Amino acid sequence: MNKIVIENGLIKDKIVDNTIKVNYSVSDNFLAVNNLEISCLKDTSICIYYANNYDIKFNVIINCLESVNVNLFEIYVDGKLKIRNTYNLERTSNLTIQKFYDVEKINQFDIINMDGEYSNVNYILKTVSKNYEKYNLLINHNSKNTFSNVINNAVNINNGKVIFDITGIVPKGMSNSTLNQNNRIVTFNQNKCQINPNLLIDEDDVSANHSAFVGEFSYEELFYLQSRGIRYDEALKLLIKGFLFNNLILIDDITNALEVIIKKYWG
Amino acid sequence: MHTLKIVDLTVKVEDKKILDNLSLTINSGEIHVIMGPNGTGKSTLSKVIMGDKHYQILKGEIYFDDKLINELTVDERARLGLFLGMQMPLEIDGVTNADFLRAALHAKEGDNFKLYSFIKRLDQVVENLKMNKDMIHRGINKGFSGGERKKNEILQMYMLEPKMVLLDEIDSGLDVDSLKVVGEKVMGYYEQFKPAILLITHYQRLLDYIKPDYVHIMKNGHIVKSGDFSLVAQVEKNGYDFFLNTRENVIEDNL
Repeated sequence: MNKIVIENGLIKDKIVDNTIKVNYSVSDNFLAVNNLEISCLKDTSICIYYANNYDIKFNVIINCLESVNVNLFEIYVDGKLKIRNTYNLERTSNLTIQKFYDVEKINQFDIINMDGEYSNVNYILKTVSKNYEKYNLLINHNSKNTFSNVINNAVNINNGKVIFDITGIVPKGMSNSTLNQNNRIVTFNQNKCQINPNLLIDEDDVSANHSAFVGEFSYEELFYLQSRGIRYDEALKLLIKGFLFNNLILIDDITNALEVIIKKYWG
Repeated sequence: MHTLKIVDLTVKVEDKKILDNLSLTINSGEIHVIMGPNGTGKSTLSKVIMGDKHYQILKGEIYFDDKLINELTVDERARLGLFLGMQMPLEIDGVTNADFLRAALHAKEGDNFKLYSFIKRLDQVVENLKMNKDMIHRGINKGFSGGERKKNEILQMYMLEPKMVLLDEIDSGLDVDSLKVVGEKVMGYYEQFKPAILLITHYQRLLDYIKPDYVHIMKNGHIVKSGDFSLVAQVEKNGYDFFLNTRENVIEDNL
């Protein structure tokens, strides 16, 4: 597993093999953007760990070359972030992105360019929101026979407020494309959260689905767990843990990060 | 000896009265079955006993072992030894059966909970119920058929060893083979632990496997007739309408 640890805008630790090529630069212009570019040359797994104590901006580009399978894990901890991730997929490449956030505040814009035919992306985002968090995701199905599956899950606590703005675009001629979106925000406060699922499709031969939910865990779920003797707080913790762990391919870094978060907020 | 005692229970949901002055006593070692047409309050009764807050008790008391449980929370009732096997067990994605059962056992046993014993016991029960071992690590009822969900309820019952078992239409949605397995496993639990059992069903077929000591016919929120197993044959022959205008005091006459 390739591992890149970025702390306060600097690469603190980097363990990489010959499956990827990494370029990192810290801009000294007035925008102070940190640029990271990774090219995936062969099948690979990458874990990028961001830890920040102050406001910071990132521009990240991930390129998946032809026929390459990539498992990408992104963990964001602390700090106020503005980040733009661009994922470029060439022909028959497969990218699985698992993103986990426990930050103070974030404004993120992710772009997935499915430039190659038969490219495939699974995008899974999990966050525990304590403040304003905005996630924009734009998926461009720029080729035929492309597949995108998006799962965005947020648990909204304290003064959390989450906005998911998710747009899938299929231009005319990009037939046999599939787009799935599943967005869910579980709230523990009265702040207004928002999910904007947009499917902009200019082609007939496309399969597209979306679901969106903002609300609390259902009474029926809690009743079921409690009816087996589990106390309310513990039942809630089980549901939160299940919600955050669900659909993830777990590796130690992700498991540990999630366990720490759950312990931090729910004991 | 454990006893569930319901006295003059009247319950409403929203503005509709569902249970009306219902009284019933069930002791350890007894199997009671409640039968009746749709919408008569059978499932409501099981949920009220378990503490579902959707239902408002207007009048009456529920005692378990002489302890008034009207105000207890759902989990407190469960830890006293009450168990509700549900008609439509929920699917909860993300929470695995193993985590769920471990949390439930931990809540019940506290410091006495031993992980190794739990795993060993769980494996044994899964095998006894002829369930797929993989299901333990899947989300609760995730992708389960109707029969598997009901078996999962029975698995939970075996793991938690309740003293008072409420089974709400545990036969619904089961094919003949699954019905046989579920029926036999409920009887197996009864023979091993001698709990009090309250069975809710529409149909006689489950009673081919579970033999009740008492049969109650429920209509319009109260018990209109109680008797022994022969009452089931009367239902089969005459239907529920036969009992429409009959109301007896179940506690005085039959228990």
